Amino acid sequence: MSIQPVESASSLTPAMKPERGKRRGGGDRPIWLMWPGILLFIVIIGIPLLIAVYISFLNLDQYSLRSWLQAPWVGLANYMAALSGGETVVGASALVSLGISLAFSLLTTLLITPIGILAALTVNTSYRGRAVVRALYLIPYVIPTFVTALIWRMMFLNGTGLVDRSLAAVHLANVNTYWLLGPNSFWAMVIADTWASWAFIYIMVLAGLQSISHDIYESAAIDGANSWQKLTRIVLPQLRHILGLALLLSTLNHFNNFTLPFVMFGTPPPVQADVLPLNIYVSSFQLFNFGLGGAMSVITLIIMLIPGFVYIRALRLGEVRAA
Amino acid sequence: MRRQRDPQEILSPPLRIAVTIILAILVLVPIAYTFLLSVTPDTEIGTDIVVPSHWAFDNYIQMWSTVNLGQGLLNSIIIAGTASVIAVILALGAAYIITRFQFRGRLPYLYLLVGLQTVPSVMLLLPLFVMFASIQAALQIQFVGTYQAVIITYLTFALPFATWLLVSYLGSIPLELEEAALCDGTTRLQALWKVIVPLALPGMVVALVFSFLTGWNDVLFASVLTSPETRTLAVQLQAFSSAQEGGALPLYGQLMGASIVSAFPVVILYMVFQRYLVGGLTAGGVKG
Amino acid sequence: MKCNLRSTYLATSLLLLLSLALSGCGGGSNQSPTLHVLIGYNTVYPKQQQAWMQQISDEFKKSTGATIAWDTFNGSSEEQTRIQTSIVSGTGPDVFSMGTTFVPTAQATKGFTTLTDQDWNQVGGKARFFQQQLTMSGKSPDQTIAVPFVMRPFAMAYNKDLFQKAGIQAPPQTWSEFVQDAQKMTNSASGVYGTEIDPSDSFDTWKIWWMFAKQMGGDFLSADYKTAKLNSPEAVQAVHFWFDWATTHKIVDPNSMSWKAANALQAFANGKVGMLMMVTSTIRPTLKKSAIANSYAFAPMPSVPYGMQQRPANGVAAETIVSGDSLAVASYSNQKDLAFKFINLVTDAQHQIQYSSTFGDLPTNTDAANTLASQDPQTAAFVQAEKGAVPTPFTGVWGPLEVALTGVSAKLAGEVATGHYDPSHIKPLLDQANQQIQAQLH
Repeated sequence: MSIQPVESASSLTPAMKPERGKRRGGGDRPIWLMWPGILLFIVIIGIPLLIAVYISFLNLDQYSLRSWLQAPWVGLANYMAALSGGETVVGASALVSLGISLAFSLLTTLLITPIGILAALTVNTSYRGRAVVRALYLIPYVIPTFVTALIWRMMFLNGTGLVDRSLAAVHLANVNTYWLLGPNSFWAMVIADTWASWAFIYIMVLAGLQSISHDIYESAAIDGANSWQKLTRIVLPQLRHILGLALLLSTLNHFNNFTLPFVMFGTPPPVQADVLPLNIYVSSFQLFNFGLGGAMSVITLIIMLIPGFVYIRALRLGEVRAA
Repeated sequence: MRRQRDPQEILSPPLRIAVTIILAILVLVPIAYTFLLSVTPDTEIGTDIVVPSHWAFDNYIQMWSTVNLGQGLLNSIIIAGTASVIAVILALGAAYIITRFQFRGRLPYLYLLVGLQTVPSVMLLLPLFVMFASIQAALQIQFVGTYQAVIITYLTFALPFATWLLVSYLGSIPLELEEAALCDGTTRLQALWKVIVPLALPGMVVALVFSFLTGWNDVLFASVLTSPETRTLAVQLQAFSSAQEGGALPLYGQLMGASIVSAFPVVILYMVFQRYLVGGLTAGGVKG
Repeated sequence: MKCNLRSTYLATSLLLLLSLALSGCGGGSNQSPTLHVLIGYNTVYPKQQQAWMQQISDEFKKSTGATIAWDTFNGSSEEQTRIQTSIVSGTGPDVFSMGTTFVPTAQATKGFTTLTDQDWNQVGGKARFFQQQLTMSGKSPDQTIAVPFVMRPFAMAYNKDLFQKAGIQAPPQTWSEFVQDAQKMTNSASGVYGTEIDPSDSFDTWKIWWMFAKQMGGDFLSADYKTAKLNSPEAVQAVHFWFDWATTHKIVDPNSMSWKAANALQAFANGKVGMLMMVTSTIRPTLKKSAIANSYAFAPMPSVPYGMQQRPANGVAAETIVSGDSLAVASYSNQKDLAFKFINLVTDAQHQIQYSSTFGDLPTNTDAANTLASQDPQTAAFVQAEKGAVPTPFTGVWGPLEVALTGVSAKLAGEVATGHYDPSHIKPLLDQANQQIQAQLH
């Protein structure tokens, strides 16, 4: 038991082969537990998704909105428009938006991961006041996104916001550095989102830490492992499924974050902060080009699916039993 | 007394304290700024005035009547609460099946869950509303505007995430534990209830928190799917800033005050549930 | 035990789902007919609005026996989404209150009832309303969908103290005078500027540019609304002049590129701005609580283009835009009769006077407006301004057009902010906007 923490750790997971059919234990196989979820997916996401895909082939605008089923069929025209990368006067073009969204979601995920892990480690052992610290960490995450965005809009106001004042006080930047306009707007968005969402990783890791057996720590302690070794040899390997999943879901969640840039910048946003969901919203609901918005959504869907699947395969997420 | 170090301890106490303080500052500075703004007169917010000319504490009183904040809080708790509880129950069932049985469509189903997570929700707004309206027309019922409509929507949005999370948790619970129970003649469902649920509690709490926040944060769907009676907090908060479109100033102070106050229920909820975060495998006495 | 757990699960999942879907039945069949009305939520006077809704409901119930179910929206994004989802699905409120400049787009959707002469009679007849407001009721006098409810003519507000300090006798009549006056008041050392600019706002930009363009004899669309003219010389000049306030004339806070209308109002309320552009009487509650509560006044916007002594022959004074809120009845509504009775109730003189004295919007009912104007000089000034109000082009692309121009403004503001601005960038951006809008013109 006291040999290699890593090995004893990994022996936890691939324990048994999945059962095939009725084998033992009453022989019941309550597959029906899956049906409510599947039903919901079909009704709430599946059917609307099909409608949205259908819309992406239509020229649906303010003139055809009322009888949208009869809107003119334009084939792939919306897809061509979305992919042509043509300049648009409102925000960024679809392809540029896609790039911004990818950069935004990957970058924020990259930033929140170490913060979240570190935070979880500070409350993993018990001490007086731990409950308070745990609750404190959660506050940014539970403030409604709408409000987070407004707080950071205030913080980033040029000249009068806290950020510019602080930077100017330590002579790092001009007090009138613009954060809500131009290239800095991307970074403003990243900072605000990082602040608001690192607790996601924190909660995931904290819960994950609870599932690491005491024995493993103890054996490591007997071996005289230092903090860094404990972290890299026990914690991270043990958490790799949870972390892998957290990174994936975090990337997807950030990719779909609409409220934050919408409230922080308003519409139309600065080109550098025109993330795809915002672009889709403006195209559909403000410029009345629902077909284009639909096409952009479908393209997003496809583009996000591919790396998602590759990632799942690579990390063998979900194959915990079948491995 | 506690001379020996806790083997779980990874950060040494000084390092731990240092990290905690840095994180606390990062968390608290914007919060403190929010609080400062909440007691600053609206005309002075965002200007070069640092210390408000007077403390506008009455924002904390007015905000309850500017919008029906109490009702909004209650609605959000009902909606996000119900949706998250159902989502976790459904996710638990699905995750159990996925981790315990091999069946055709198992991996595709997991992939589908990720696929669902990638759907830009903005895209679904119009079609979903059309579908709800069609259901309404077909069944001659009022559906849009009810709690149910939003609950079902949020529940579904939270489900892929919750399922994945629980798949990952249940996957790390050794089968031996259940097998012992199954050999004794208990059914699958009893095993799920008696063996798995206590062990998966940390995961369930996390899934619950995230599912809750899905509904708590949404503005877009709630704005079209709710009626004045069922309107959620997030939508109501918008009212404070939409004052500007009528030519007046946004009610920044009240908005900031309302958001500070409205963060409390969730923090309290989490503090209640967080004791289940500790426990799980260690409490179950499982050996590695 | 097995059955227990299984049924527990079923109860909490499947049954719940089914019951969720079905328990909505309750609200459907009421004994008395119900009229669903969607209006904007009034954050400034929430209690008064509640009281008003209650009063109208009671009176409506008394006269028709029907109930009113009120619904509210917060802000124009939400309003627009509500209208779009309602139209596309054919369900929703019976009566919509909408911003006047959105009426053309609403009419383009064909989702609203075209009002017959008989319908108009039911709501008190066209003669009841300000003629200027009626120009935004529909694309032609016989194809109208919207009944004017309240109006909000635009003016500028000015700081009397700053005027006095700079030795300015009266508000400027021409934009050249305006620039001179603004320069006199500007004292960047103390952070005081003659006027303001809010290029990140979603509404002010197109309003100001359109006013400039009209005064120079231009427009954003051809007279038949078939050709977009967003890149016409007048339009380019309009945008150019506005950004000149920041780059050439230096009469605005140089760091205000990220401002929205609210930031400008704050600066004005704090005595940092001499002249506040394109505001309505609804800013009065805010200013009442400010440091300049007793030292501001309203005046019409200047109406002679910059560098000119008088307007060109085809120029239009366009001091203000026909603006306000209108009421429209959804075409899917099966309570149209009640809807018209409701509109009739809220637009009659007595209710309009009451509404205006409570909320500060001006009545569209002519009698009501005249009564109020005779009581209060500030109201009189706005009523006077309304008589010169010019309607924006009545076209279904107006909504997208506003967004496109806001996009242009945001891009130019970004350039000014980062020091990359050059007036020669205006034309290409307007070309793009023009192309985009032209593609949507039918």
